[in-house]
Amino acid sequence: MFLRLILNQMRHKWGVTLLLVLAMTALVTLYVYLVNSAGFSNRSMELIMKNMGHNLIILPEAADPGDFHLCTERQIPFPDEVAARMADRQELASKYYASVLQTREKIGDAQVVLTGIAPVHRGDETAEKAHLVADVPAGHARLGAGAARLLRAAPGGEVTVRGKVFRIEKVLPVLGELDDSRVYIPLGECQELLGMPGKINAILSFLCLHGTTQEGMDRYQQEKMGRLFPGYQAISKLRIAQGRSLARVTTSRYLYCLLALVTCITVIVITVTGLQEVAERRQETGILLAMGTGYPYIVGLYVLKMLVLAGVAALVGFVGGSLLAKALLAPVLAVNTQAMGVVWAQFPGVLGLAVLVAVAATALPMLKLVRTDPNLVLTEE
Amino acid sequence: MLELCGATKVYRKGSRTIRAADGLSLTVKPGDFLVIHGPSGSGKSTLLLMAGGMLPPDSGQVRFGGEDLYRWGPARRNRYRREQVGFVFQRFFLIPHITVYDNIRLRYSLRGAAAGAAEGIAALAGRLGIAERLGHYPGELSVGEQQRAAVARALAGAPGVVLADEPTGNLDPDNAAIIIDCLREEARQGRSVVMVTHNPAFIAMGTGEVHLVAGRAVEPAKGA
Repeated sequence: MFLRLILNQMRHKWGVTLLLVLAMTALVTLYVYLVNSAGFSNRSMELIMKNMGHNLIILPEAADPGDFHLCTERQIPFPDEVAARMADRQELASKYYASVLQTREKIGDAQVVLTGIAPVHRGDETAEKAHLVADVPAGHARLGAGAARLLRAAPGGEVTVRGKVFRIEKVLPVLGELDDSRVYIPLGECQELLGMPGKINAILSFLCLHGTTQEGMDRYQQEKMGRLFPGYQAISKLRIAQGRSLARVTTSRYLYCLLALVTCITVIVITVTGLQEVAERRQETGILLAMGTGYPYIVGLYVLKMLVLAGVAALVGFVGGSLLAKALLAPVLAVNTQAMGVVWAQFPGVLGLAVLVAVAATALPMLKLVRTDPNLVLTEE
Repeated sequence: MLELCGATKVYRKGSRTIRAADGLSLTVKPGDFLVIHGPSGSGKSTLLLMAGGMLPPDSGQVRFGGEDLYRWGPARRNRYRREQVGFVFQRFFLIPHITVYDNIRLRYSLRGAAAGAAEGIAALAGRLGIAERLGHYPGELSVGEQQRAAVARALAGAPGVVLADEPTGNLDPDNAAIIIDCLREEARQGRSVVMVTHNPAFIAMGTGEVHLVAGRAVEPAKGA
């Protein structure tokens, strides 16, 4: 009978019911759209940043970063197993490690940077979540644009380094930095050629910003490095890290400002509608009290109705918002991420939000309800 | 047995003081059909609300079964209304969004006796001539039918006390007669019935009467 009262009331005042559902659906739809579009925009931005290359250089604590940048003889070699150990520590904010052994090398008349490189692969790599550095196949070389020009080399050709012939896998696009002058070969083969087995002189990595600022993540990374890998330093490439950070901050700010505005409007709609409904149902309240129900029963009628409507709005808004994000955002992403769609794992949170808004907006009408004097209602003519 | 023992209720509106009940004492035994009458504002509705556990007196007592209702907690007073009291109001107060059947059934449901409701509803509807209207919504009924439905709701589950506040005030003579006959029959079956009315023709039908003026009983109740 309790449920029948609720359902019949909803049907009886179907216009008000529809208004409440629409108000909450609009909120949930916008929320889901914003969360999804922000999530996918962020992911797209992450991929763009990742495609720009590593943003973290890890060197021995005693090393001078200038020696790495200038590729001098004073670089300090260290064991190549360090990169694998770092990759195993999930606490670090850095991900996608690549071991590097580099030296200046004269090939013919050309001065290049011979770079042995080996990515440390992750167990969860996918097509979208691929490592920043692709493996250089054994016996092959990958050339920076500048090195290729100096060596007059092209993909499919050959380059000889210290008497060993490497087939040219590909030539990288111009980057406008030292990497243009690199000749990449597999790390093991480089160690063998240089007589430095098991040694590297740098680790390249990618600092991921898990929802915090770049400064915050830098501090976090330094603290973790100091504790887990004392004797090593991490130097971030600020411009890449900051670009990512600012993109996230901008998206989040616009998201939360807009969401707060829509939440306020929805709460006002529900509250005003609720107050009106309490006033219209005064006689029903009076007679229910006269029949021996208490206020909890009557408040329960209102609150449960709002929860039912919130549930319906959450479901409709969730699917609608997800599809809207997919329809509007997918075509404009500069870099495609994983397939956009209805992410059901988000639904409990969305339902919680709708319920929270519904309950909060019902508080004032319920206060008015429990202050209703049934005796005045029942004796008024 | 329902008793009012020196019940006093004073309303204050700004500087005005209205004594709606001024030391009222009366007793309604099972089988009594007590008629309350008096001019508007004399405290008739206040008497019913106090007797029904809705409105505590400022002083004095309202007793049921020898116990003061207003010494009970709210939950027990709710149970008293649910199980022992049937209210009928001049304006019916049927819930508009459920059918007549559900309006009556609601009372059984609140008492936790929904299982046997169908037979009781059919019997009451037959007595009050609304059997054909059970599936309708209150707004689809005539005024007389609405009041008969409200009486059926009040009598659902056979409450010990029936409190009727001008139940015939809006009705034509035929419908009024149906209501009065029904209430008298309830009294004959052992219920305590208290009815407020302005209609002199119905005063004589009671087993007792109370004439209220400014919250005071100015004539002794015949049957009390």
